[in-house]
Amino acid sequence: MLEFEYARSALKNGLKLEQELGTNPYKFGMVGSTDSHTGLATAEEDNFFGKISASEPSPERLTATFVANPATGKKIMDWEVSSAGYAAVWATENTRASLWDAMQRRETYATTGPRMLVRFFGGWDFVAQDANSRLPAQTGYTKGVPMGGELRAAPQGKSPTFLVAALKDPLGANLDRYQIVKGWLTRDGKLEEKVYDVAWADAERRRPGGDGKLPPVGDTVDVASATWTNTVGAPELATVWTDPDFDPAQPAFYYGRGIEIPTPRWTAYDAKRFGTQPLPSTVMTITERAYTSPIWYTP
Amino acid sequence: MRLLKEPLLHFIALGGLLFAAHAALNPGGVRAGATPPAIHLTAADAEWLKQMWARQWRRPPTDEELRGLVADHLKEEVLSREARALELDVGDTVVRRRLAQKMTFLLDDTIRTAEPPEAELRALYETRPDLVRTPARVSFSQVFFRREQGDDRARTSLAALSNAAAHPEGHGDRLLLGDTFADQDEQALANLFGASFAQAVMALPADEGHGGGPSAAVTHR
Repeated sequence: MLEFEYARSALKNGLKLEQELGTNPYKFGMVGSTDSHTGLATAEEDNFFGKISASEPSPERLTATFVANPATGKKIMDWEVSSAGYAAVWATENTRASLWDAMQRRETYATTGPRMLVRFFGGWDFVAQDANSRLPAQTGYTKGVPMGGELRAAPQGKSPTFLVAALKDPLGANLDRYQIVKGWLTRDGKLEEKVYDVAWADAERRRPGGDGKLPPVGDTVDVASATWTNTVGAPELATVWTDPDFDPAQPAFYYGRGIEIPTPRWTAYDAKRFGTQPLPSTVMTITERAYTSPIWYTP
Repeated sequence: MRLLKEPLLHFIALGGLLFAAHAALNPGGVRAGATPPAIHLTAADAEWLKQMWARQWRRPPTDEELRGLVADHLKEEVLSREARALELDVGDTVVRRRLAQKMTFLLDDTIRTAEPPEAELRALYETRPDLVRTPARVSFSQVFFRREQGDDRARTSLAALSNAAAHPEGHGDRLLLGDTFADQDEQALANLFGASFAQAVMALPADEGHGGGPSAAVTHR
């Protein structure tokens, strides 16, 4: 991973910089956006209107060049451009002030396009039953902090617990799994990271293999007709997870990542609608996902 | 006498008549059109330019910037006068739209100061409901049950909760969308639960506990 090009890397570096500077300059929340220079919010794969007006739907855009620099030989093809995502904000009401406040406290998450509902709470006292209550969010706010929040000074002998939940986009694809990504600073100043699978669809049959990895959820995508079916995956995932590798002396961050089952990418819809033959290396499917703002732990 | 028959004299006389007639028909005439009206840029104009600048840049313009602003303003004034003289504004859609917009603003401002009489408002309300109608909004809380486990638990809860003193705490299954909805219209509910559920909720009479219709969100698997 290019150290200075990714969000996760920045979050890790922030932990280290806090030791040196006394403050963490990379304590940011996550939002998604489209980067569309068309003035249109077209983040759906089946309605991607291009990032620029030159890439509006046409039979040519599947094989066209987006940008090419003859001096460096670097080239980006139109098919590599993504339809991108949305910013999701947990605000108490749909007013400008409330939305702003939510963004300031980082209670936001990013999606790559679909409108999943994602919850991520951290605290010291969550129990498994909390995930099954009528209103898990109410328990989340009462017993812990929401995404974007901070935990400090672990109580003696306790590890942080996380109440997580995700609901699929009502018009979209089922969910595959919910992961928590942890980054931490070891005692000898090294930055580490680990991805944990905390909840997944079809849990009866799917169990982590010998290598600790979950078997894939399944792929229902038919590229030729640009369709998928919700016959795999789950519409809702919710659980409480405790960090099994917690060290109260190590600063850390945790963020939630919800992943959908595979779905057709805009390239598949284009190929079907215009009958264009895609170039050999074109990516035709995508697994959409959501990233929550982190919760930071400071000893 | 021979002089009066000279063609040159007749020619001069006719010429003189033509000029006289022209002068009579064009008051002001060539003399007045020869000197174009002067363009005056006053201190007030300079002040206005400074304020427009400051609004955007959050600071007053420097002397050089102000000179540039004045030069631009003058150039604009000259060009627009010439354009108007050539009647370039006639038939221009953008100009037309802008003038119509200004007129609309003017009308809006004048209308706002006049409060229509109550009787007139009431008459409008009665005769043109289509102008004043807004979508119906509803507030409710719901207790949600998963259908896989049968409808019995739902029925039991409905009976228990029909007692006004009963509390919905402890009834129902997890629903991440929450249990309380305030001031939602049909479209907002359809976005969350599907069109048929939204329609059913809007049709319920207010202020009563009800066994809800099936939720489209649940059956959508």
